[in-house]
Amino acid sequence: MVMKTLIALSWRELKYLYDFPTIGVLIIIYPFVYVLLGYGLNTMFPQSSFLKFFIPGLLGITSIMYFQLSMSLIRLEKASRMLYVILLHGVTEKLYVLSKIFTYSIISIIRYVIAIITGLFIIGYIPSINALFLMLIALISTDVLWLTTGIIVGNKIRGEGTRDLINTLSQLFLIFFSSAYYIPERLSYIFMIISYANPLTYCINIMRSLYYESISLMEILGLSLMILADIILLFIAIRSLK
Amino acid sequence: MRNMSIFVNGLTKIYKPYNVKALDNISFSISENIMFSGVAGPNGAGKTTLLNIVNTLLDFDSGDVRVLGYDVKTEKHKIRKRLSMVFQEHAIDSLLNVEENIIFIARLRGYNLNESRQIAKEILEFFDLWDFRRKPVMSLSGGMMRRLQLARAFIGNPEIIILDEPTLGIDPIGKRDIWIRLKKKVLEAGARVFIATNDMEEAEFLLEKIVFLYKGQIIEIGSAKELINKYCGLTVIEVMYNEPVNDSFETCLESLLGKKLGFIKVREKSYVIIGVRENISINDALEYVKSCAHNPTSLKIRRALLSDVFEALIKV
Repeated sequence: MVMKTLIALSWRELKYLYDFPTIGVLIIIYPFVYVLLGYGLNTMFPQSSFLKFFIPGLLGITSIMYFQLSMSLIRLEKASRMLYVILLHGVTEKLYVLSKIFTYSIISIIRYVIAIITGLFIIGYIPSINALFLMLIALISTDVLWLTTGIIVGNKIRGEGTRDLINTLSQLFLIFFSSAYYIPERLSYIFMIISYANPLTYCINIMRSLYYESISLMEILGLSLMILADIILLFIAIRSLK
Repeated sequence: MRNMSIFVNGLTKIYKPYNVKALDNISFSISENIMFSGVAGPNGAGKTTLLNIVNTLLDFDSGDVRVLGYDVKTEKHKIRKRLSMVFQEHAIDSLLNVEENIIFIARLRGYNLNESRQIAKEILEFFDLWDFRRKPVMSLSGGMMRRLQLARAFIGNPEIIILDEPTLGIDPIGKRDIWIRLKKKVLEAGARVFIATNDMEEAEFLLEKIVFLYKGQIIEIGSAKELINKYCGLTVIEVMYNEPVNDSFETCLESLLGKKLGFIKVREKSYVIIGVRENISINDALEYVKSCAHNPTSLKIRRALLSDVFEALIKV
């Protein structure tokens, strides 16, 4: 019964994303544009591979879209009262949130495979199986973090204007003041502070370390902290829907 | 309480930020053998608040509320499995088409894809929506959207269906169509229905027991027949005056209230509605009216309706 409900909810969510070409944008167009950008920068700075540096950052910035998507969809579901219709049909708040994680994890895996294959073809690099596995966990953990944050924020905001403002600001601050494109230490002091106040920086740093196959206790600890943050946010997201 | 489909005792709900008392210590119960019951009252009476408490979505400050014998606070998931809700707004998944909307809910109710498709076919045919199954819901008319919501409410054979103003914004023909389909389907499914409405024609047509709510308090409970009898008698006279009637006119008529006249309501000092008791003739009633004021400009005699009870009960 739980599985049937989970599949029904995921089918609906995937249909949304498919009908509004979000999946295409999220998985292909958005990363493709950034890969081209990274490739361009790669040719400008041939002494080091910017694309290799950028691929984990690319995965991180596409995770921000999960935040924007889940915030907008929860807002839509509340405004249309579909959230209440779903909850009144025997779906628990926990199952509702888990179905979103399940759905977006499927997309995450596709995104991940495409990014790794892109890296292999353009720069001829692929990390070891262990690193790839840990990196996938780090990616899904990053996605859960932003997805649950989106649910919490989307559940709190009242107007469409607030939603649009948060969407724009998140695009600007979370993506550009992170370690997606640059090494924060090389930025000016104020930008470095902002970058380190941004959780996305830590998510990308862990994925980057794993991509570079630097698997030490620090990375494992960082990954564990991310999973802990996921559990706390998951709990808050479920509570916020009650 | 076991043989009650809805049991409400001492229910109070206060909306905290503004300290608005939406429901003030209300108590009533709906017996299991009543198929159609509901709450009526003007806008802002607290009807939707009551419905959202009964459907387990809204918390409340004090009181005891049970649906099908289950406590709405502690056993909400047991209630949700047995309950279905049609919201006042068009709470339909606008990104799915008509058939997909039904299939989605059927799948949530635990049916597999083939069963869900079969259910969608049967229910859409019953509500005359099968030909529109591939249409995006946003292309449907208001009446069709309501029918789709009603169709969705019957999936999984719920024991109780809650409807919040089910025909809001629908034309008279569309309304009747919805009422008839609803009645037929409910009798077929054996469900219990609890409706919130401020449409007195709807209440009179559908409801066996009506709870009148006004400013968060229950002001009357009974069947349409009982209430009409109590407040209006069988007949109502509508009188229109060109000149405004003076206050003594109302005082004069009020002296006849209870024994001879059921109720009087004067609007804008020129339009008067008078309920006539069974024990006096229409002619006598007209004489009373004439004796209290000058001759009316126009006069209409008709059967008493639940909307007259509404007029009598609501002090606006």
